[in-house]
Amino acid sequence: MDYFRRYALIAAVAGAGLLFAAAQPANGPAIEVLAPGPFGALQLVNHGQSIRLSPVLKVEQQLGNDWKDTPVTNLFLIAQCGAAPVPKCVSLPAGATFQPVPWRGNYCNSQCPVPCDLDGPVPPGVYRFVVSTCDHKRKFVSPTFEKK
Amino acid sequence: MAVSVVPGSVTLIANPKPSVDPPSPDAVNMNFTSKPITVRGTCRITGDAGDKPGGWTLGLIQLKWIDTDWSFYRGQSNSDGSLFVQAARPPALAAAACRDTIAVGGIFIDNNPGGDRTVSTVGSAFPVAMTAAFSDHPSRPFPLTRVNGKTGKVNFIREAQTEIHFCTILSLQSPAGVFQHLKHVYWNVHWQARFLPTNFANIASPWSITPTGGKLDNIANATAAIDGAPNDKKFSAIITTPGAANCNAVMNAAFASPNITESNVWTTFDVTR
Repeated sequence: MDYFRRYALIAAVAGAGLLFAAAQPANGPAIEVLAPGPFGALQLVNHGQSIRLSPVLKVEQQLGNDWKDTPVTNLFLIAQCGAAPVPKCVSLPAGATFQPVPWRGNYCNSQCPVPCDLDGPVPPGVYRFVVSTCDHKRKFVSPTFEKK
Repeated sequence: MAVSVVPGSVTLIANPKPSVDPPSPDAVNMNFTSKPITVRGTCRITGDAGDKPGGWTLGLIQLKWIDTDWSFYRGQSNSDGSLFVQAARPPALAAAACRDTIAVGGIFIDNNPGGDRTVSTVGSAFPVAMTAAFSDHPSRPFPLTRVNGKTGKVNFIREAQTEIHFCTILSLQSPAGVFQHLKHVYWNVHWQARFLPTNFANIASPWSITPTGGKLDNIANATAAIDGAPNDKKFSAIITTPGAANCNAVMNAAFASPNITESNVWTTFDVTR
């Protein structure tokens, strides 16, 4: 557990550096996606210019050397449950920090209560969050975190 | 002899059976939740020398064939009005019967990766033992309040009912894509209750919750396994049909845009419509 946390922290720092290096043009947006814990918690920090993000928060699972999309639904960049309908894009001003409602670890009832006929927890493993710009041209990934 | 199922090798058991939790409010919704049902199926396939075991898949297919989902809201006083929310009739409900997968367009249940199916591998020795298992815990959230468009007043949830009926089928798919339905079980979850805030000015205060519906509601059931495929036409149209409606997607849409009937006074509504 402690080992994993240290690993995740190292990965977070290294991952953030790589992310900025790979996805960060000069003066462009620089979204840092953090998974600070506890499980499912997420934080976005905009180190760059104002940006419009897709409201859909994706989850990927590490399988071997690959990252595979996990079919989690109803997971969005929203600050609270029961508020206004999910917008088409989420604006994050320069310098802003945003903490969405955490992921519960389920496929369907993943964040706020929704009607689910088929649901269940995703399997144990190593996961990461993926946030995209509203035009889906760029994506930002969180450090890895473990689902037990 | 072609690859075939070993006689007597097919089992399908629901254990634990489903159970429903009492309705419970959070800050936003009155929630109907359930404890998981687990369904586990097994079979063995065999063949002769020269038969190839690779690519046979044992999995589970789940269909929903009955859905009741309505809620009734009432203002604090008669002049605040009342309203009825129907999520289980068109146009809110786009499809009465649907197939239950996480990924839209799937056929086999897919919420238990590594356990929800067995795919036999090339070079396996006959007989090949196969298993498929999953758990499910359906749920429904009903908003605690809605604004009545005729009176402009907040209406509070007064009563709601959900009944969801499923058929879960153990099915063997050949490498050529042909399905052989081996056994099936029926199961369901029912809730119905009346609600009243203890403090209309603060809905975070406790609510009075009274189960209604008699012996048939606030209960869950599962049958023993039945041999073969379900023979109702409701099922045959969607068991493996490409493009069958996806249950979660259909219900999400229905709850997002339900059929709403409003009154400017307290009234009763026909919950069957």
